[in-house]
Amino acid sequence: MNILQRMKWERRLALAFFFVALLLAALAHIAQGAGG
Amino acid sequence: MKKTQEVLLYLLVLGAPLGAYQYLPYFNVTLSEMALGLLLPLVIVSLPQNKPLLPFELWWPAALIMALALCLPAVPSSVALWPIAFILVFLALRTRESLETCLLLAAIGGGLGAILSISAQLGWVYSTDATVLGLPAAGLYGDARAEAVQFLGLAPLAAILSMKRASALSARIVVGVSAALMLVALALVLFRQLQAEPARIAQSILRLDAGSIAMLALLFWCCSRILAKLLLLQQQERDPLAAPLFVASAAAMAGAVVLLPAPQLSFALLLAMAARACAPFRETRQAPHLALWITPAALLLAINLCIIPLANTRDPRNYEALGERLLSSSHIEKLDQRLNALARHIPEARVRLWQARTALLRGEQEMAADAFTDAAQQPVRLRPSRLPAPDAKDYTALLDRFRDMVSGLPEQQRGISYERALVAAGETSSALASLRFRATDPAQPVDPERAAREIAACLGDRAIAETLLTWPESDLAAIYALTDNCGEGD
Repeated sequence: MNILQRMKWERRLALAFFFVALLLAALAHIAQGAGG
Repeated sequence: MKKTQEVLLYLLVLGAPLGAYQYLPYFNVTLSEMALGLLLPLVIVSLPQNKPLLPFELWWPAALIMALALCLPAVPSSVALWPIAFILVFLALRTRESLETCLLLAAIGGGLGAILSISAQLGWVYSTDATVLGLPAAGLYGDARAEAVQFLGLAPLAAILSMKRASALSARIVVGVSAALMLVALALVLFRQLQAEPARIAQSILRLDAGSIAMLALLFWCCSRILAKLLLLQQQERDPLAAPLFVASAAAMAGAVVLLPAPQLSFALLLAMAARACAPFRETRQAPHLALWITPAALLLAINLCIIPLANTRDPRNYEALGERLLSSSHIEKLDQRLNALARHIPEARVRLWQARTALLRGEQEMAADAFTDAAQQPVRLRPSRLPAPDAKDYTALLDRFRDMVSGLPEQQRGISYERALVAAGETSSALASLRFRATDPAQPVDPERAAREIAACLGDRAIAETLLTWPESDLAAIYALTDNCGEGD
């Protein structure tokens, strides 16, 4: 894997982690809101 | 200069997980803040020789977070320390050996922090009193969530590092014990603190302002980028540090996402070390001996457990500084709640004196006199107190406040609370002089002996009765009339 390919994969993975974090945040805070 | 940078780095990563227990007595700064402050000029000076390696994709979110923290009033400016620490640690870590040492020291610091956290939560050492609900609070920070996130990150890091066969056996044992302690502390924080304080964790992203949300998004993006780098490092280069750092960063990030803790340095340091592991190292250096760094930190800890100087106004355990802050912002009710919680756990004289002060501000003079008497008559305890016992100046200052407050009241409402406080402070003659001065209104005649006994009982010193008996009956009757509401609070 060359440096450009590596950067591309890094960005894709980072986006995936970022959206997982957002999803987790949304779920946790909606659940917290529902729990009072 | 390189060696000094390393020393400061080690102190920084070892001190950061200790939270409030790493204050330098009388300097009002923490060990890690001091190390950061000294590291800043050293890193800047060595920048020309040490070509900056921090990738663009990491420094722009860090710089933006710093700018937002400094510009937005809703975000505490202490958040600006986070990106500074991140960038400085990244640039100062030049060799793989020092990174490995830093990771081990962070794990050991986490273990020490876990011992403190467990002790504070079980009431063995004075905690940071995050709560107003009367429970002994989180140990290391004023915020139990910050503590949970710290242990979530450092416990898996320590656990995986202790399994590395390349390290020395003694280091592996110490780090393994640290991991176990951190897991216990984490469980205690999660089940004891966070369950007991539902109001404090109900801080939702949905209720944050746009600036804070933007800052969180930048932080999450920075974390995501580092996680992606670590994953590729593990897959492509099979780096032995990639796995522990990935697990630690992912766990800390997940904790931060769910709990939204107050900003803390140890999280920034963990991310900086994780990001540095992904960039190539150009220099090599012999790793130093771990014990060298643990000894001064352990000494500092021991001092911090015993002394909280009043000069350390930023220490969250210093309720005197907190009281002054809350009073200057007119949060008397909040201060009252905090003092009541404190008085249940640490009924020391200074807390009672503060309770007297807030009672005066609320206009409750009898309560103020009770609290003052309690403070003044408290015996010197063998157990070291949390803050130094109040001195004569503190008592005099409160008596002056008391006098100013009661002198503004009409004579009928005034009672003898101020005189009670004077007697408690050992100024019996001033109390009697004040009473005699006030005994001007004619009153119903009374039995002098009974009146003297009751006035003396009200003042809290029965020996005064003998002096009172030498006074004219009309004075005694007038003073007796003033003691009408005496003992109503009992």
